[in-house]
Amino acid sequence: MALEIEVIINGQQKVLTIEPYDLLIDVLRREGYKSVKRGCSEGTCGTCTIILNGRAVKSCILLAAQAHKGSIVTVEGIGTRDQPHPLQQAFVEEGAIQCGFCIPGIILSAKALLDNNQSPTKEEVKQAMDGNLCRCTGYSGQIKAILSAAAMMRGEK
Amino acid sequence: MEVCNDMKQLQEFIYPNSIEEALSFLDESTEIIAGGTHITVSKNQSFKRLVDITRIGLNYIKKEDHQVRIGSTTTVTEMIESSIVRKIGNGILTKACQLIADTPLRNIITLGGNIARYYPWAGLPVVLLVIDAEIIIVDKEGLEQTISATKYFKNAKVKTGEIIKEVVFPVQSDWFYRYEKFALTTVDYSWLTMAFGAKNEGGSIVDPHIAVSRITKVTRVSEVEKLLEGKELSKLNINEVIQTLRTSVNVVSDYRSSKEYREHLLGILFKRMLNEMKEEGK
Repeated sequence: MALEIEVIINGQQKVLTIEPYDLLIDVLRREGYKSVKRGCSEGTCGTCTIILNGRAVKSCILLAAQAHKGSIVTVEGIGTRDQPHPLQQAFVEEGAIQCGFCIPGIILSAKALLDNNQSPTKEEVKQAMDGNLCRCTGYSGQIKAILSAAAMMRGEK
Repeated sequence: MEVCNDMKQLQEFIYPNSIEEALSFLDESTEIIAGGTHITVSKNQSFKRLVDITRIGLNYIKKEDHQVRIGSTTTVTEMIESSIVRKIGNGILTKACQLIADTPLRNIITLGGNIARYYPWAGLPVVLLVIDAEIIIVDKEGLEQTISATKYFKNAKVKTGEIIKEVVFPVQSDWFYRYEKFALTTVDYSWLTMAFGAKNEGGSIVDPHIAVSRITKVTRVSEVEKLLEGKELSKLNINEVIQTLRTSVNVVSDYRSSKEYREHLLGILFKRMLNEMKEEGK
């Protein structure tokens, strides 16, 4: 039996008609948020990470119904090609991207961290990123990029 | 549309506003959902209705005299961030929470979800056991039942029609507590989970609590608790204790590690805990 959920996606109020068994990832992709990537489908790899109510979560193991009255952020909502988010800018500058498939999830985990903690330590960055696998880069460039973005956001760069 | 899960039988998703309202929806074909991290990936689902209990006021951490009440839908991340929680078990609840899964999962996994089923990988049951926590369950009639963690994990699992409301943790800062999750990486599933709690009274061990899981169904180890009771730390024959521990626990093997490996590991981890208790008592 279909139901309606109210959500705010990237600042826009929406009413979505969903089935109770629909996964959040499927509903977001159907609505056009294609930055949300399907990887393992079991909550392990983190490519499907989004921000829900200020926290990074894995959208492949959540039901869309769980997001009712919630606020969602995807990569589509944080920057554009002309005006990238400091994290996106820093990832480009550090060369922290190879194939790119994991990057939307990684950017959002990093954003959730920096929104709550302006000056994270390297250890805090590593812990915040522990739910996102990247099989290309080995992470060191990404950790550098996140620390560099944090400095940019503090106005130090 | 692509649907990876086997949940097509699910017809309804309900958002009650109170415990009473949530209880009124519970029956044999209904499942409770909080974080829901296990519901979508488990096989052979048969429930037709899900009742979301994350909006019925069970998200709280309340400090009282000598105890802390934590609502069942409080997330693991919220517990990690709480300075009140850090006082429980001298930090072992916080440590156990930090070792659960990974950040995006900890943001959604709840206290109640970690103890509602006997998941072999769950980190919190052994902590509740050694701290003598109490689990408050609201039954079908809406009455609150208080069940000790020891009884709960032995045979009193939450039944259909009931809701775990909260867990009450006594705060005993003069106790010695340790928690270990042995795993290959920080986000790996546990290979062996254990916790230890005891009082050091003038150099003697009093009221020891030992709990293990993953290598066997979560349990306290009463044989070793009896053996340790009243023993002087300085004269303790640790090798004898370890030997008793290895034979008292019904260790099973799995594809990751053999029974023998796990028994050895169990002894090593407990030996370290006892040595640390000795050191701390000096």
